[in-house]
Amino acid sequence: METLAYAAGYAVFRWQQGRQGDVVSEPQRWTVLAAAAVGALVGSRLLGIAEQWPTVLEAWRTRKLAALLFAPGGKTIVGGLLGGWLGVEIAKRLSGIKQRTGDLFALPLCVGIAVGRVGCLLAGLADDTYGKPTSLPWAVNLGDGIGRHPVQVYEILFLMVVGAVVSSKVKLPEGARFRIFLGSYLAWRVAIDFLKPQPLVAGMNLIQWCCVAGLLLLALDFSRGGKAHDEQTAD
Amino acid sequence: MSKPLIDRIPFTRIVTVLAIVFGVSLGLCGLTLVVSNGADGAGFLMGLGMLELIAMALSALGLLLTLVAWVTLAVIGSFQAKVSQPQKLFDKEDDTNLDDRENPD
Repeated sequence: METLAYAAGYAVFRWQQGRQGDVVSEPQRWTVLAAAAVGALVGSRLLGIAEQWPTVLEAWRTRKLAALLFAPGGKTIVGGLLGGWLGVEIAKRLSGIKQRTGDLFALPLCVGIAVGRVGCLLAGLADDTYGKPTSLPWAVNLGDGIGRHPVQVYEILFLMVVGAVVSSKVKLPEGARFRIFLGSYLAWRVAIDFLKPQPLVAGMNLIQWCCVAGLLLLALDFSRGGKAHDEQTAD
Repeated sequence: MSKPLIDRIPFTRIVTVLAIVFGVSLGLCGLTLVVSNGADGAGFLMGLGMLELIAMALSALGLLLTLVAWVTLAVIGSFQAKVSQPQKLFDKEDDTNLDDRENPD
C-alpha cells in the first residue's frame, strides 16, 4: 500500500506538471525532488523513532540505540513533511532557486497520504496509527475486540476536502497551495492526535509538538513572504 | 568538448529513486516483521521480510555511495572551474576604449 501511495502521488504530480507546467526547469525540479526525498526520509525516520520515546529511553539504557536507529519500521508523515520541506529549502538556497516550488506537491501529497492511510487501516493494530476506544456507531474493531475511532478514515475524508481546495482553479499567489496544504495538515494532526493513544509529553504527543513547531515556522515564513512582497511592490 | 562527469550522471534522479526505495522497504520490512509474529504462513512472510531487508540494505548503501560520489564530483568540479578561469589582464577601469583615450573630448 505504501508503494501504491508513492506511485499514486507521483502519477498525480506528473499529471499536474503536464497540465499546468512548472515554474522551474526539469533539472531544477529533480534537485527539489531529490532534496524532498532525502529530507523526508531522514525526518520521518527520526520523528518515528522519537515518537516512541519510552522505547528510545530503554534502548539508551541498554546501549542498543544504534540497533534501534537501523531497525525496520517506525516512520511518520509529519516528520516526512517537515524534513522534506527543510531539505527543499536548503537545496533551493544552495542551488540558487528563487521560485516557490511546492504548489505541484500539494495535491499529490493529499492523494499519496490518503492511499497510505488505507494501508494503515488495513494493517490494523500492527501499524500503530489506530484510534482510542469509542462506543460511536462507526467504531472499528481492529482485531482486539475493542471498538475504536477510525482515525485513518477521518484523515482520508479531511484530505479529500484539502485536495479539493488546493486543486481549485482560484488564482492564488505562488507557493500558497503548498502552504495551505501544509498548514491545514499540521493543524489537523494537532487535533486528531488527541484521539490516538500515544505517549504524552506535557499534554501532547511528540508529533503534535512538532506540528505546533511547523505551524510557527510556517507563520514566520508567511510574514517574511509578505514583507518581501511589500518591498518588491514598493520598488 | 564533452560534458563534465557531474553533468552526465543523473544524480538527482538516482538519489530520489534510492531514497524512495529505502523508505518503502524500511516501512514494509518493519510491518512484515510485526505481522509475521505468530501468523499463519509465517515462513512466507519471513522470506518476504528478508527480501525487503536486502532491498533496504542495498538501497541504503547505494544512497550513501551516490551522495558521496555526488559531493566529491561537485567539489572537484568547483575546484577545476576555479583553476581554468581566464586570468584578467586589465582592471575594469583600464579597460576603456582606445578612441576615448586618444580623443578625450
